[in-house]
Amino acid sequence: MKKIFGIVIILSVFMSCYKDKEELLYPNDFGLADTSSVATYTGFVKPLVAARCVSCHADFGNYAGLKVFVDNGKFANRVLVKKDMPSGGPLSAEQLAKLDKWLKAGAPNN
Amino acid sequence: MKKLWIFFQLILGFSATSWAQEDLLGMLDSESDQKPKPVYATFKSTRVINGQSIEHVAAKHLNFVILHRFGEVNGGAYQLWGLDQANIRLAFDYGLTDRVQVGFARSSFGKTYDGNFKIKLLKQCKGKGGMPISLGYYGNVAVNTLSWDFPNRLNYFTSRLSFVNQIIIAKKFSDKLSVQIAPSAVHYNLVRRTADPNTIFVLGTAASIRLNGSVRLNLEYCPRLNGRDVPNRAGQKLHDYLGLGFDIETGGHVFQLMLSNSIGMLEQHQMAETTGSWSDLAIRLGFNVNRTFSFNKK
Repeated sequence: MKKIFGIVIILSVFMSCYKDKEELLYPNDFGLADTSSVATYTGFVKPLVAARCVSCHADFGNYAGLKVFVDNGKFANRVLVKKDMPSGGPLSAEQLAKLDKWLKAGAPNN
Repeated sequence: MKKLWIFFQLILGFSATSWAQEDLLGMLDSESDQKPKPVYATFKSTRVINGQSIEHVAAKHLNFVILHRFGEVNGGAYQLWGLDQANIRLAFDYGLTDRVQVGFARSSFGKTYDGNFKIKLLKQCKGKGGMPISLGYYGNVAVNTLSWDFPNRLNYFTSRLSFVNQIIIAKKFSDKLSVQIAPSAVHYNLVRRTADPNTIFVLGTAASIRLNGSVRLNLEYCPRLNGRDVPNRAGQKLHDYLGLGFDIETGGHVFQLMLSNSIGMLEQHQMAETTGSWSDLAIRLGFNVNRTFSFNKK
C-alpha cells in the first residue's frame, strides 16, 4: 500500500510537468492587446485590489478609500513604479498596463 | 646491595609495562586512523542562508524554521531601512531517517505552498580510503496560490506549479572552512513569452567560514546559466542571488542573520526571481530561526 502511494505521488509529480507559454496559450490576452479600452473600477480594479491589497490595506476596500492613495500618488508609486507592492509579488505586465491606463484616465468610479 | 637490585628490577619492570602500554595505544591509534570516520557539521544548519545545505534533520526529528526577510534597505529612514515590511516562510522539515528528509512549507511571496524531499547519497569521511565529499539531492514542488491574473479565461492548476531539482556536493576542508556547489534546475510550468525558457539552470555555490566557536560566516551565490535576460511577470529585470550571513548557535537552536538581494526564501524564488541588486542597495536584512523537536521515543 505504501509503495503504491509512493508511486502515485512520484507519477503525479512527473506528469504535472508542462512547458506552457502564456503567449501561445492565451494569444488574445497576451501583451497589451486587451488594454485598448480603459478597464473599469468595478470590472477590474476592485476585484484586483480586493484579492491583492485589502488583507493588509483594509481602507482600499471601497472606492473612496482607494482614491485617497491614488490622489496622493502613493498607490501608483508603490505598485507601478517601485513595484514593491503587493507584498505577495508584483502584478503582471498586463495588470500593470491596465491599471496604468485606468489611473491615467483619472481613476473613474465606473 | 640486594635491596638496591630489587628496586632497579621494579623500576625497569614498571617502565617496560608502560612502554608496552604506549605501544598498544599507538597501535590502536594507527588502527583507528585507518578506519574512515564520518565528518559531521559541514554546515551549522539545513540551510546555508536561503538555499539548502548538505545537512539533514536527524531521524525522527522535526525542524521548525521561521524564515523572515524585511524590505529593501534603500527605503531609507521613512521605511526604517526596510524593517516596516515583512516576508515570511514557515518550514517544517522531518527526518524519516538520518539520510532522508521530507518537508512542507508556506511562503508569503506568491502565497506559495511547497513540499520537498532531500536525500544524502554519500557522506564525507575522514581517514584512509574515506569518501572525500558529501553528495545529496534536493527537490521540491511548489504551488503558487495567488488569485489568477485573468480569472475569466481558462486557467489550469498546473500553471501554478514550479519545481526545483538540485544536486548538492559539499566538502568540509577543515573546522574553519566548508564549501558546497549545487547545480540546480528550476522549472516553471507556465512562462510568459514563447522565447522564455521553462527551465532555468543555476549553479548554486556556498561557503561557510568559522569565525569562532559558535559563529560562522556564510556566503551564497547563485549565478543563472541561461535565461539571464528574461524579465519577471511585472517586466522587472532579474539579478543573480547573492547572500551574506552569520550563523549564531545559541543553546538549543541556530539563529541565522543575513543580508541578501532576494525577497523569496523558497529556492525557485531565490534562484530565478530575485529582483534586487546589490549595486542599488536593493538588499534585505533577514533572519532564520531553527528549532528542532525530537519524536524519538528512546
